[in-house]
Amino acid sequence: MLQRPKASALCIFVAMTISLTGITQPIQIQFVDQDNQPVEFAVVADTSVKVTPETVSKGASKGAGVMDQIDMQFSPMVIAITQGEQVRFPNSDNIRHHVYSFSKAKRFETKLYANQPEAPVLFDESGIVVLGCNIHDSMIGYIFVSPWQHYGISDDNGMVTLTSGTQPKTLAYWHPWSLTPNQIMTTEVKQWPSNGPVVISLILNKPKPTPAIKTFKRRYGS
Amino acid sequence: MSLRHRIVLFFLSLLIVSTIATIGSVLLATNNSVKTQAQSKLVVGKNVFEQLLFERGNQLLNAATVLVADFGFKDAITSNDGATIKSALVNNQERINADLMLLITLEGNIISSDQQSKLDKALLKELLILAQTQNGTSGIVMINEDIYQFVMLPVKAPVTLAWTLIATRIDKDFAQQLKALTNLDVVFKAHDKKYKTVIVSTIESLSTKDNLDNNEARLLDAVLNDHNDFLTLPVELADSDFFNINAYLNTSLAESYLLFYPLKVQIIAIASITLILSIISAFFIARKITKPIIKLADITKKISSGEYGEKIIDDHSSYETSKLSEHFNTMQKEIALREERLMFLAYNDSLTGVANRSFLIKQLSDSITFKPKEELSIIRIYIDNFKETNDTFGYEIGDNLLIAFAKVIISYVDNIEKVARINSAEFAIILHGINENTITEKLIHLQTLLQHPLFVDNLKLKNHIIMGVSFYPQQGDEAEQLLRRSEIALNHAKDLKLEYALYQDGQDERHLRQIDLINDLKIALETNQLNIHYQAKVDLDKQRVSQAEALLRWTHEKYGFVSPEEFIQLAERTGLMPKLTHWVLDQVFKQANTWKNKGLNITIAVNLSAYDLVSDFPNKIESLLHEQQLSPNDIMLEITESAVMNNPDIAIQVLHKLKKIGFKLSIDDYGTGYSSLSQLKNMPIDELKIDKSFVLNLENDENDLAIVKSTIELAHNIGLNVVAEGVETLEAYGILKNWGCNKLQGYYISRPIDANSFESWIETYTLPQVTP
Repeated sequence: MLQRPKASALCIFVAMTISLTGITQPIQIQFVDQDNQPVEFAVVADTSVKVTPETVSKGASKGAGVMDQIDMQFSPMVIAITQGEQVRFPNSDNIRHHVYSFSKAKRFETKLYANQPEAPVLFDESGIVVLGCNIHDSMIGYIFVSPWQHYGISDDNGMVTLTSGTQPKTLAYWHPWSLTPNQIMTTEVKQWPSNGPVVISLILNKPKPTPAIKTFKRRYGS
Repeated sequence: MSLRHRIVLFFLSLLIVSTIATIGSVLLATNNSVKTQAQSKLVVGKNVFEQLLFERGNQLLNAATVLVADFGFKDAITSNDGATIKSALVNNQERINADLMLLITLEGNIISSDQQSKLDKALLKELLILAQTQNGTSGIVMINEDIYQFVMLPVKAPVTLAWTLIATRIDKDFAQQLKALTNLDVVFKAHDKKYKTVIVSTIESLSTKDNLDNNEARLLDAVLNDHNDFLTLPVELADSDFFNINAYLNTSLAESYLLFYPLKVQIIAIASITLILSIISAFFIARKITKPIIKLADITKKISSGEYGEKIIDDHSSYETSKLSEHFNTMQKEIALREERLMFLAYNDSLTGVANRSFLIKQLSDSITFKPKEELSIIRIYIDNFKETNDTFGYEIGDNLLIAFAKVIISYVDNIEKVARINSAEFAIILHGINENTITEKLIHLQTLLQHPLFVDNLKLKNHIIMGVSFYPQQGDEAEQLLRRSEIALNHAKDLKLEYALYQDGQDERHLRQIDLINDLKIALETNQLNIHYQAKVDLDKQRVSQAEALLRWTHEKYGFVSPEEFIQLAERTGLMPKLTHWVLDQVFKQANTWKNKGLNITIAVNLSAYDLVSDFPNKIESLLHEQQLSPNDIMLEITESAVMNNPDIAIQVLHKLKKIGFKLSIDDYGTGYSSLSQLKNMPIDELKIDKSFVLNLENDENDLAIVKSTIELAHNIGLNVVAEGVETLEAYGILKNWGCNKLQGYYISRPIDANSFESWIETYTLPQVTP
């Protein structure tokens, strides 16, 4: 699913020389992990333009994001929305789900339902919202509620393209498998590359499918 | 030790040894079994224990797993409200019956159900690392001063929001539950640097957590280390940098031993009862074995005391005893028969069939013992002329005579058992109810009866009998004594030529004195108690003391002076005479030799007994003479008249021989015997010695004067010298000298004195002056 980029040696430093050209065009950011592999579902945002209360209320009217549930998985795993947007949680499975979140940004639950809950959920606080299904523990989904206007999620090549038309100094980024999954990190881009994406390296801790302990350990210690 | 005791002792020893061995091996096996059982119990118990602990942990885990998945719980702990979270913890802790519940946030903050419980930071770190790698952890830990089973699980919503640690305390109650299920005492011992040692135990005295006193420490040590009566199996529960936790499962062997106590008691009881029964059986068997032996021993004892009547009844207890009994009975019969035969031989005279001496004594004893009041007469009957009859008609006739004689006695006494033959021609009878006053008639009757002629082998034989009688109880109460006294009486009758004599009191004492003297005379001869005195003879022709008569003297230590007449007679009767004569001759010849050497011209006269006049005597005396280098002239031999008359033929032959050797011969005690002058004429004698009975009172008795005077004349006429002895007065001396008596001897001249005295006497002696 993931394609390895040919320009594996790209880095922020190279990108900076490109920005000196002063060409204004969509900016590209690529996420790689500690093994230099492209990272999907990384969220990156241009921190230069914050969401205003007007845009929040405007966004609310704009429509809803969608977090589907397919084959007992949130689909996609990560979505990013602008603060003040609503998200719909359609259920494509033929079983019921009980979607909830205990995240600070948004605590909610939609009791067992099929097809479509009664109403979309409004996310008026920015932050990371971790979604779960109360009856299917393996289902984990994330909603990045962005306080910024311009953001994007990396595709399976780790690539994000932002079309704000600016080259922000500071980028905010986040990935659910980072070592600090509850924190949105920022990085300063001193010089944007004239050509090619800004590459952000992530150290990921991909959750292994470790089963919960099933039996009591007979002996404690080494 | 008796056979029975031996048998019993043997079995007893055997049984005791085997019983001890049995009990010992049972006890050993029991003890081994106790240990083995205890060990297997421990092993089983350990499995159960571990399983229980594991199950309890699993229960906790399951409950905790359910709990952390609970939506409401998640809701509560994400509420951000400390009080709410804590109350949720407390509530859920109670819900799953846990003792401690901690919530550890991802930031490392700890929210506890129990404000007191503080978790060590380092330990928490270790726990978190363990939990993160395995998506949760569990085990046994020491928190503060308690031991816990814990689980640590993530709270996921759906990512890990926090960690929760849920624990149940391992406390005394739980230990007791374990004990109830494992049947083992359980001691949990946790140790860490901070809290030192924590002990949770089912053993009452070890339940304290505080410092143990010495006894408890010792007990703990014993429990933990298998000491004493404890068998312990340790189970390691935790071993980390922070603490060690071990469980010790143990069982008290004492309790296990106690379980076997009834068995041991039973075994010992059974063994004891077996032992006792066996001892009793051993006694009975031993008795059964020894009973016939004891019975036989009893019967043997009876047999030895002469009872043969008891028959051994075979009880068929065993073949051996049956055989033994049978042989015993046979033996008993045989012994009885043989004894009867022996008895007959022992108590009967084989010739006449009457009793013998032994049986008579028995009869007498029995009579005295069983009828002590009854008077008895013991009569000895001696056939005086039996020897002549025997000599005349031969032994066969003699024997037949005795048989016939015995029949006559039996017919008189009318009881064969009261008649006994004592010696060849001597019988004895016992008459009952006869005493000294009534005996005479009986004796006269017997005399008549027994002297009646008997026809034996067509010969008419007349017997002359002499009888001696003793009486019971007057003359003794012992059979031997009575029989001896009857013999003394008989001898008395013989000596005095009486028809019969009754025993006189004192005769026995004389008899006993004689026996004493006979016995002592032998000793006296050997120990030189005898000595010889010399009595001078004056030779009137030569007017000097020319001779001395050697006279034997015996001073008995009990009886004092014993007269030569008495003891010489005894010596003659007991065959001591040759010895005595030899001794005397030896002494006298030595003395003669001495005197001869000293120049003393004395002929010593020695008295010979009738018993010396035997054919070999002359040779003996001759050799003795030569030994002392004497000539026959130095010795004169004096022979009594009666000695010669006893057996004149041999005596005269011997005298001739002596004469031939050269001895001068003198007839002693002349006038007391019955010697005829014609016989004297034939004897080769030189001298007559007139008996002192004629001389002692010579001057006053006309008969004596006549006898002595005529004897001197007569002797002189046939060429014999005459010696007078018993000269005690000058008158007698004078008379005899005037009548031409050749030699004089008597107290007037000298008493008999010992050799030394004689020597001094003769030096000073002067012959009396007698006017014719």
